[in-house]
Amino acid sequence: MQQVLKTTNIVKKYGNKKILNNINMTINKGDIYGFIGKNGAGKTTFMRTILSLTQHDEGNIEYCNNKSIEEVGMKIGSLIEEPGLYKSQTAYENLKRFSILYEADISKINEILKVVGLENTGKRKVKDFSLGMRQRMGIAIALLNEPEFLILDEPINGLDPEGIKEIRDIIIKLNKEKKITFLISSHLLDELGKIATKFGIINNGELLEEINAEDLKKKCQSKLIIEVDNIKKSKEIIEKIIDEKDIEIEDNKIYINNNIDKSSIINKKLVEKDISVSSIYPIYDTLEEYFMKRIGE
Amino acid sequence: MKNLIKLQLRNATHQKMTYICLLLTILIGPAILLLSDLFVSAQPEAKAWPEIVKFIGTQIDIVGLIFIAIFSCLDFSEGTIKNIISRGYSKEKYLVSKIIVVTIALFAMYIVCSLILFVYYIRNGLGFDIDLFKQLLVVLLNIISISTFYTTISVLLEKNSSAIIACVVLPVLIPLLLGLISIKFNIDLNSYWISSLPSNYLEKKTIKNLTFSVFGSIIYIFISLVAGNILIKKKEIK
Repeated sequence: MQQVLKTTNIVKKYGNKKILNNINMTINKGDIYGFIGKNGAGKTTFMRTILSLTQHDEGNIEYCNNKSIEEVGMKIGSLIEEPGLYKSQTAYENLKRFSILYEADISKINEILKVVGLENTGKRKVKDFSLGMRQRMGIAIALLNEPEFLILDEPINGLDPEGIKEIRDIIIKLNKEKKITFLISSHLLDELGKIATKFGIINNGELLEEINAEDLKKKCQSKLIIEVDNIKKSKEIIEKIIDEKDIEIEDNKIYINNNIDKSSIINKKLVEKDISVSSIYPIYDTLEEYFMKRIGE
Repeated sequence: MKNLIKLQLRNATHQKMTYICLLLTILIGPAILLLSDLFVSAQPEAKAWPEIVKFIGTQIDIVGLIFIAIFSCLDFSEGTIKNIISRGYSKEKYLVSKIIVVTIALFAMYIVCSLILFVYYIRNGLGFDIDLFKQLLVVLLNIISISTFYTTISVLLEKNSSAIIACVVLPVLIPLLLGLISIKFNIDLNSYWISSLPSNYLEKKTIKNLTFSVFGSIIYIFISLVAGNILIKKKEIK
């Protein structure tokens, strides 16, 4: 798997305080990497560090297998905090200026404006754009010169539900159709949960965990719920398969903790003992619940 | 670097402020000089070239510094500096590109202002001075040093307001301080100040003064570039 970004032991200090503490992050080609953390956890600082907007004190940053940002920067698009725009200019003029800088094909500007839904802005100045339109302008600039990797910091911050959906659709479309790799931070964990294929959880400047979406789904399966006609007898049967302390009875249902993978065995044994199993299904933690557990809150 | 210069040139040519400064250079500078001839002396031919060249230099200083302060901070005030640095352009190259474009803009103002005055004075009987090119070159070199010096300060300050204050206050405050120190210790420090360098030669056209003016400007350019590159490298881009 080709690595798009690999950081090794990144440390960033302000005075004596470590804002980033030995961050080791790996992002593979095609990933939509959801970067999760509380306010002040270090997400933006990390993104700024990998983009050379701020200097790090220790560690190494590699793009596309041992290349520096100076070598591959033209193929990395980014939107960090508020988009940087020439506000007294039109959307087209903004893209034209950055096309000159990024050596991008000027004839593709209208196509990019269409991708982000700003093709009808005409002579309207960027300063008259709504917040959502400005965010989409930021993404449009990031898309110039056909980037292979997009770094988006809180791209849906402050947007209304419609705006959030639009940005989400753009990200999914670009990932699927143009094979663009993403690193996205967001406070809206459920939104991130809908699109990310890999997650990184950062807390107090430390990357606590990197986990792909499938593994996260398994980890989020917190309980198995079983509905049967004979609870007492069922409990006795289940106790022979799993530890008693993982079994709870509530509202005429059996709740089983931490043994989701044993659902088929439990079902089989119950049926063999003539228990009528009306339903057996797992319930999941949300990404937010998992995140809160992981950072210990 | 080429792309950075192209971007900055586009920024400069698509900004109203550039044209306002150019207009001010055309209207106010020559206008003051010409009106003073009309109403005060009524004898334009009585003017001397060094006096005119010095005036052009001063005029470019005043309008140019406002242009420098606003233009140098544009990418910081708009946040577009992030779009530049995050695509792999170094902060040092960014600074140099700004200096180059500011210098080009000031050259344009200088040429326009000079042409108007030269045409006027030559038509009104002021003879061509063989030293004129030397005088112009001294001022021209000084414009490069002023561009480099003040652009570096403005870029490092980032904010329009701080840069404008620095570009307006420094040219007044520093000569004042140097003047006071000079009086106190009975030495001439004022002639070392960046804006005073051409005056040394324009007031007394000796080889020594020419060398002093030329090397003084070169030293200012060198120090500004070295210090600017060191400081901007450490700068956090917000």
